[in-house]
Amino acid sequence: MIEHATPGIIACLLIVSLVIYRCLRAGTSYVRRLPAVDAVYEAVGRSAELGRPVSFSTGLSSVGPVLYAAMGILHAIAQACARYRTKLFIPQNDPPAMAIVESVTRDAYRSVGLSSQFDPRNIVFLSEEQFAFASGYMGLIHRERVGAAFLFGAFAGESLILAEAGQQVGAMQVAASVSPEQVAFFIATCDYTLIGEELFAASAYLSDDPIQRGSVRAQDLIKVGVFFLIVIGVVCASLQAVFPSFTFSPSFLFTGGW
Amino acid sequence: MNKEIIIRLFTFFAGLYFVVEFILPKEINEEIGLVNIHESVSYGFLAIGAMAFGLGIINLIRIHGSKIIFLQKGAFYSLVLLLGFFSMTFFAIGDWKLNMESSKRAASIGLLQKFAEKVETTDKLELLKLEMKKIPELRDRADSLATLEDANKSSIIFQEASQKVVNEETSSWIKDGYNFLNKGVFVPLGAAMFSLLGFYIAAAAYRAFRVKSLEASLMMIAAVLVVCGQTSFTLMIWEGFSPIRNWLLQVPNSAAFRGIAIGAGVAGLVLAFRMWFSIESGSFGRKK
Repeated sequence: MIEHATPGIIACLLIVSLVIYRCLRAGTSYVRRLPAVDAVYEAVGRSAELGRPVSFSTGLSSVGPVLYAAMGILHAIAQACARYRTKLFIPQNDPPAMAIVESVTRDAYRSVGLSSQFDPRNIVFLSEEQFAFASGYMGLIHRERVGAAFLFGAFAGESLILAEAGQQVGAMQVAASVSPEQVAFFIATCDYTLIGEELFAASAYLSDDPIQRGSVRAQDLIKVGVFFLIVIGVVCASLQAVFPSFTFSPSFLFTGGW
Repeated sequence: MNKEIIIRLFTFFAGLYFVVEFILPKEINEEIGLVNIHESVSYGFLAIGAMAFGLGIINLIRIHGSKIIFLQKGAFYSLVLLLGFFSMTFFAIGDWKLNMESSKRAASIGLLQKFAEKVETTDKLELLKLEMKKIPELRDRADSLATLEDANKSSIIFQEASQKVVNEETSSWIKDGYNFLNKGVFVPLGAAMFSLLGFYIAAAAYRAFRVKSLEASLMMIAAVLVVCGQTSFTLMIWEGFSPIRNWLLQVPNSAAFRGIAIGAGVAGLVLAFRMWFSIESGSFGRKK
């Protein structure tokens, strides 16, 4: 019986440390092409040509891994917006997340030497309530007639409302969510969609940072490990179904000696 | 010690707490006494969250306030938003205060009722009367308790007083205002936004189910089968739609969901490690 996650977590931590160390030594690592991430710059460029602003939403994300993954992409988008002199609206739902978003956006503008372009009034707190946030977002998208809308983060029932708002004003939309239920809505409504873990890989793809790229490589290795565990589980379960006397229980991993 | 090192140390120790609390076995947590401080730590996080909420309010007032003052585009909407915000804040705080006061009074009445039922001596009876006079709803009835028997059988007096407290609370203009804004405006507006989904799903489905590629065709066929298995009319035509729908949802759909969930979970874990050890790049610590 699995009582706790200690062995798995320690194994993951070791793999991550080792792979990041190797990538740091090698300088960089290959990340396969993600068309949705390539489309990020295309969307910002299109907005600049149309003279329309860009919007970036982290949805209902609170401070956590999903928000941090989205911040890597926000950094790249904010840099592109600063270079193209395009207004970037960032409607917000969570106050602590808003503080991080403001810091990342300010840093992105500063990194391209255009701090004066950064306007904190474009980071708008709408509401903590899900549908009040959705209606505020819709209003913003329609009033400002955005040329590109990015939806990266955690979304729930409001995802389709947000994506349809962008669709109605003809904005080019790129979305990413770790929630499988919302991915279907984004695929139906947005031009490009990143599914699940691709959200975490996107910022590594946009930057050459060996730490980010190394962690993408590490998570792939961990997934391969999980895949083999699933295969072993399937084989064991099948064997037990055919031969009821067959038992395989690596209980020493999960219960003993801790 | 510079600011960055302090942040890194704070992040590391905060992360360590969660690793020990949620990942290590329960017995170890009990041994080192971490279980006892869990409640205090949770309150600490709540307090930080509550402070951060102020940031949202400041942002709201700053942006919409400046729009109103400088009569910028959309100033009227900003005015409506700020009026809504301040009136809701006023009525919500008023309602909360009213609830606090009335529940405090109702608790006192309940306590006195229990005391009255068990009064056995005259000095206790006097004490009961004295306490009753402190509560507005019981003040006039205190002198009606002449004997110990009166006190022991006085539950109706206390029930009436409790009812008075409830009536007073529900008939207050603050409660009316709060109910109007909450149940009359906020909830219906939320429901209206949610109902938009019905129309949007139809529009999105129209775009998604156009047969333009093999994948889109498969998606459309699957969607039609699921819809047929879900609606009573198509089930009247052929009952076989239902098992097909169940198979589609439980086998290929669940497999895809689990695949996404495992991938996202592993990726989240790896990013959490990066955050814990403050090796996140760019804005989050290490400079490129």
